[in-house]
Amino acid sequence: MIKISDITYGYEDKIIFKNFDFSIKKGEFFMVLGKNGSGKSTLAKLISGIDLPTTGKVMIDDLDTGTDDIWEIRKKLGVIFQNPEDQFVGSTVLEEMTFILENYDGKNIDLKINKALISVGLMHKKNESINNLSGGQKQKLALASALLLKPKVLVLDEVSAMLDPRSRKELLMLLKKLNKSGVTIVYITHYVEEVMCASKCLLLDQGKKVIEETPRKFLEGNLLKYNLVIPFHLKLLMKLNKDEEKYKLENNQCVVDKICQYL
Amino acid sequence: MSISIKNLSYEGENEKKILKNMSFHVDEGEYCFLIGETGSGKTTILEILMGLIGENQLQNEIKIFKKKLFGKKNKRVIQKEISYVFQRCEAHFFKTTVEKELKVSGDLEKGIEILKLLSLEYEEIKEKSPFELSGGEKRKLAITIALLKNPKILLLDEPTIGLDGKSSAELMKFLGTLNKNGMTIIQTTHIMEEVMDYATKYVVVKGGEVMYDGTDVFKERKILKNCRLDIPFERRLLDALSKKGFNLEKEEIEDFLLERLC
Amino acid sequence: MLNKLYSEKESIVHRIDIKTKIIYTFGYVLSLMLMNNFLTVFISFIILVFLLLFSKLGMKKIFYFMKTTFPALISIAIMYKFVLEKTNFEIVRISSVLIFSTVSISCFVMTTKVTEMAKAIESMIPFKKIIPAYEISLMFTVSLRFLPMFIREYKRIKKAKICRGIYIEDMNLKEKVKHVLGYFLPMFLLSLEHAYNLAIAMEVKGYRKKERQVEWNFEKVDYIMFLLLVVYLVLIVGGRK
Repeated sequence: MIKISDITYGYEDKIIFKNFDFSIKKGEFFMVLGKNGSGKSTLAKLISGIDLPTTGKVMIDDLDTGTDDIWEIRKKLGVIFQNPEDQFVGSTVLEEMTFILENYDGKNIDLKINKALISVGLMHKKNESINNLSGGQKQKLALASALLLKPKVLVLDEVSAMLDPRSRKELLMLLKKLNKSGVTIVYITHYVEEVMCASKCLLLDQGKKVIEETPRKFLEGNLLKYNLVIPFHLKLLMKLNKDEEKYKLENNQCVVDKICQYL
Repeated sequence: MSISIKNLSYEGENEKKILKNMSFHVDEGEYCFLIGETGSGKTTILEILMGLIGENQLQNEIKIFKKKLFGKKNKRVIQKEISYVFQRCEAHFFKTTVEKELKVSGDLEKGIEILKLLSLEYEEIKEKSPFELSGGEKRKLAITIALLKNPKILLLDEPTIGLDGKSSAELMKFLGTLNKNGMTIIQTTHIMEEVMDYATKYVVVKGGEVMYDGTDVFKERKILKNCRLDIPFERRLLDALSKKGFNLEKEEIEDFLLERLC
Repeated sequence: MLNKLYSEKESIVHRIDIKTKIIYTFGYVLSLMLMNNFLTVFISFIILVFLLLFSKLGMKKIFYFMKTTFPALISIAIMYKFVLEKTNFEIVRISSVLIFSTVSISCFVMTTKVTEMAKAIESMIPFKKIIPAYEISLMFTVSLRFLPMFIREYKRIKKAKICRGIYIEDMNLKEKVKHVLGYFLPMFLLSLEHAYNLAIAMEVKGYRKKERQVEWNFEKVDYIMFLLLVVYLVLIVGGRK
């Protein structure tokens, strides 16, 4: 679905990626982790076609970001950024949603907007001024506007960094639901606990792949070296689940109860 | 008592009541966490304590170091002893290089030392603009600037938001050490995990009112649920284990469970 | 503060299409120059009263805007009377022009949503192939959206200075000017960052240069308003000596 072949990318005198290869299959929930400066945000920009590699190709579903029509690619790929304050053009929710549709095609605008807002749970805020939304709601709005064109891929660049824990969970649940319905997700983060939602995880350091595995195997790697802290409950679960998967992470209390059961 | 707040009410723009008749106190040397969701009023409390807002509205019942926080002269005297670090730390910077920032804030030598304690190498960043630094580095610089003032009280507004796991843990450890050495700290947060290891006092705020004021907030499950706050996994585990008769410390859990269950 | 500018009421004036309102207000203010006797002043006054009635705006808000003109009004009145030694009528005339134009413009501002204004301005700019009307109105809308953020940032920087022990109110002019740079630098960098992020966000949402359709959506009410404007102008011109 997404294929990056042998790219080199840098600016000024800094080279970020050199002869880098990368691919994501259709339907994956792919997470990219790494410390600041590892290149993960740059990777997001390269995949979204915002930046172009100096050499090599970035292919989205057989369309080259360098040579093919970028607007066709944008129809298939939605992007959401970290800072909820910077992403919006309109002053109300409705205005924001209309902006994108105005740029592409103007049919059935109302229907499409309502559908997208319902899917993220913001229908009741349709006429609300964007300044009155909470951080979590703003990110949901960004997601809704990205969903308007029915993209096949969503790229999310550290969208949960500025949110409180509840909003973060809600957003991830939404993404999981979307992934189940077939949308490929590329999710960049530095919160290790979020890997449990992924189907595959990649650890980047200085533009190179360090670990590219399933979440379970990913957690076994030496993450602390790369500034990633594994939260206590995941560490514990990994050790307890070494031989067999007795404890599944649904919610905290369930795990605690089960542990007490076995004691 | 270092800080005593009685019957504090505050109205914001459009006559919206932000704080409703709040009362609590913080003793010297405490590490007090103001917990609550965004919009509950925690930042407003800190700003009022710093004397930044609330000129005409205070009921004149806030006492810091036994002096009333009222009137220009009193405020200035009190403000000298308090430092406040904003959530958006860019607001603190106005010089073109890190070196200039530190020089204008106080003793450069001391600044370099503090940066080192926060694992930042001064030589690497001294020529950079403070706005060029990464999120974590900016926070650390802002805290260093705040500490160069030699305050008795440190106020922090969600200092770990946007930081990666390692920087976050480092920062909390640093603040914990600072507190052990006598600094009174009031910090807002809504991340319950970081609160456990360092807090000596919890104040839970919702809708501008004090919901809880005490030393062990995790006992009050109902209040936490009502305020949409999570109980960290470690705490749940510790409580469940002690119910079964095993009284353990956080560090002992892992080995204990591995022994028993594997 | 910006919220206070728009009065949330349902009135006839609120419902009139913005382009009509702009043209009408513009025409009215220009016509005030045509007043040259008590009759014309009276006619203009009556129109204003009707405008206020139809827009259901409270006198308190109107007075709030009028307050800003008082210094100018008083100084002009004094100048006219004692320096230029104009007749009493002239003084009345110039005061009426000032007051009526302020009130009518305030009326317009308070019955129009800012976002609609941007769209209206866009559609009224001529020579669309040369002048980038859409881009101008978009810049207008976006700047307005960021204005609260910048105000917040300015307040934050002010507070941060107090935290550092820098009390600007105590300084003399020279020192104050020096510190202005301390505001300018962070706000400038901040705006660059926002602009960059917004530009990327807009590109990602498919924004690009293209031909915009111009639509003049006029309804019955607007035609009536135009007729009234013509009638009024006729009255004013006819009422002159």
